[in-house]
Amino acid sequence: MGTGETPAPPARTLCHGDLHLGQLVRRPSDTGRWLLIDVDDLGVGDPAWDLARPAAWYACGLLPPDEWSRFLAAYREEGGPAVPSTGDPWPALDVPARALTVQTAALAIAKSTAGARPLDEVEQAVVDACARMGRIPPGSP
Amino acid sequence: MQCPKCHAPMHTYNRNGVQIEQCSGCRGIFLDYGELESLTRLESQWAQPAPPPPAAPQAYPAAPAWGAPHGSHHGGHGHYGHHRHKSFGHMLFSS
Repeated sequence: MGTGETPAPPARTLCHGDLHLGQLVRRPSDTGRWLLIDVDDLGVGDPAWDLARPAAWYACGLLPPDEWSRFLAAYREEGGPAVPSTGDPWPALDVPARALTVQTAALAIAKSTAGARPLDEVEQAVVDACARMGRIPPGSP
Repeated sequence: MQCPKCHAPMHTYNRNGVQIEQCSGCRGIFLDYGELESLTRLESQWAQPAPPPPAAPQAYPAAPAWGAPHGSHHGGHGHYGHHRHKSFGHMLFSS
């Protein structure tokens, strides 16, 4: 974190730490309760980081706006703690989404370099988002 | 002034700065020259959109300033379309 930026807020909520669709299972597969598995990275912290992935994908143009809206509305309806219940969620999500985007871009570049192949369309979208965020510091309106 | 239709007396009213004559019998209205234009102008002012309220519904949900410009890539479909790209599918399901 650069100088002059707000320090991270104190830890406050139980976070999964590695939330993605591959961590959701149910049994029986059609009627069972959904379970969130793989708690290796469980910890207490800012819950916005659990939303970093979908937020980043939406910001990178990978997740369609209607799907992001549905996800966010459902999350808020259930009282999700990461974002305020109404209004702009981005003040809370901006930094986690940026971090996830940068991490994803770095992995994409490493993979494509290792495979001696060009970036695919999705990887390029993530790298493009890094270029845009470099011009807009966190906390900008 | 007498109503040209039913000949009852007409009374003058001022409506938003426009003088109109209304018949006390048939309630018909007489407009002087230019008054119809004045009313049209008032109507168009009335119909002009008020400044948008801050919580006006958006075509797209809010996004950060560095977000992808929606609708401007690849024929308006962004990177998502009928088929999930392979590398995005991988992102959805892995750490």
